[in-house]
Amino acid sequence: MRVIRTAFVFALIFFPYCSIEVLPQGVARPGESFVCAHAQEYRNQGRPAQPVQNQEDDRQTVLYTVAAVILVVWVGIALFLWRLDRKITRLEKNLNEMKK
Amino acid sequence: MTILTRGVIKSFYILMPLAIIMAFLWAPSAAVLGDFSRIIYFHVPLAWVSVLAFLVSGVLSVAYLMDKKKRYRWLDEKSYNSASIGLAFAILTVITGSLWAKLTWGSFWNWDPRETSVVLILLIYIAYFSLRSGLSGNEQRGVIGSSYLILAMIMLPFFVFLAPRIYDSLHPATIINADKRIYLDGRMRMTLLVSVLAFSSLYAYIFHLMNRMLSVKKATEDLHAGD
Repeated sequence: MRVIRTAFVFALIFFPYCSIEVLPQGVARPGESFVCAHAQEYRNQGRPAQPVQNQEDDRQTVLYTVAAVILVVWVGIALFLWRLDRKITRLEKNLNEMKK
Repeated sequence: MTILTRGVIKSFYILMPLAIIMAFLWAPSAAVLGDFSRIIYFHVPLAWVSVLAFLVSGVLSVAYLMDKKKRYRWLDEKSYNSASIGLAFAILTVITGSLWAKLTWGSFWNWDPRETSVVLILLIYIAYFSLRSGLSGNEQRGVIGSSYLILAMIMLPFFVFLAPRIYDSLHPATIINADKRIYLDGRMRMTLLVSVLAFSSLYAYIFHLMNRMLSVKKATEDLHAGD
């Protein structure tokens, strides 16, 4: 039942989420792919063009930030799994003692 | 459990941070897609591991139906565990894929053949969970659920490998393609490999924990029944 409930909640969130336009649409210029135009516009939205060195520094900062955030999320998941592992080990030991 | 098996399962603790660091700080960005392409190191392994989990659930179901003397315990429930992990990974694949689709194709959902086939796979496995919960208390639950999982496993290659290649797809064929060449930079390929191994070990670890919880639950029930 829990799986069905989760799937239902997911469907409820996901399908409206598909129809919402959250990010701005990119417009490709002649000779430029849609992807490049979109990525550039998304990166620079509302800001004046920066020198190439500053853009590269910004890009590196964003990459480090994203990596740090994902590592923090991973630490949370790893801690949860490690604690769960310990709890199951303790339960297994208790069960073995009860059987003896 | 042998030390080797334990090492493989717990390698998740080392492989996952390594994969994250490689994905963001070591691998180059793709030529056309830019830094958005880094989501490939999470999207593709999630998809592969979900297929692996569904295959494991199918194989365990075959073993359950063939094991007439019941030498192996709770195979149907282990296949259920594997299918539930596969479903969770498939949902994460859809979420990462739709984010990537928004950034590269301009829309979260495009009804691309591969997207459509993933929706069908999700529906098939959600139906399995409905079927199984509807049969609680039924003696034939294991047999019916396992038969369903085998049928789902037989259909899986069609949805994963054939359908997206029969029809024109927005998805690129960089790894499995007609040229039989991998169109990925060496560092990108290495990062993808490490990421696939990391997610596979995560799957193995969660599956192992779920099976241990199942054993504890069954042993407790046996103890109470004995009292």
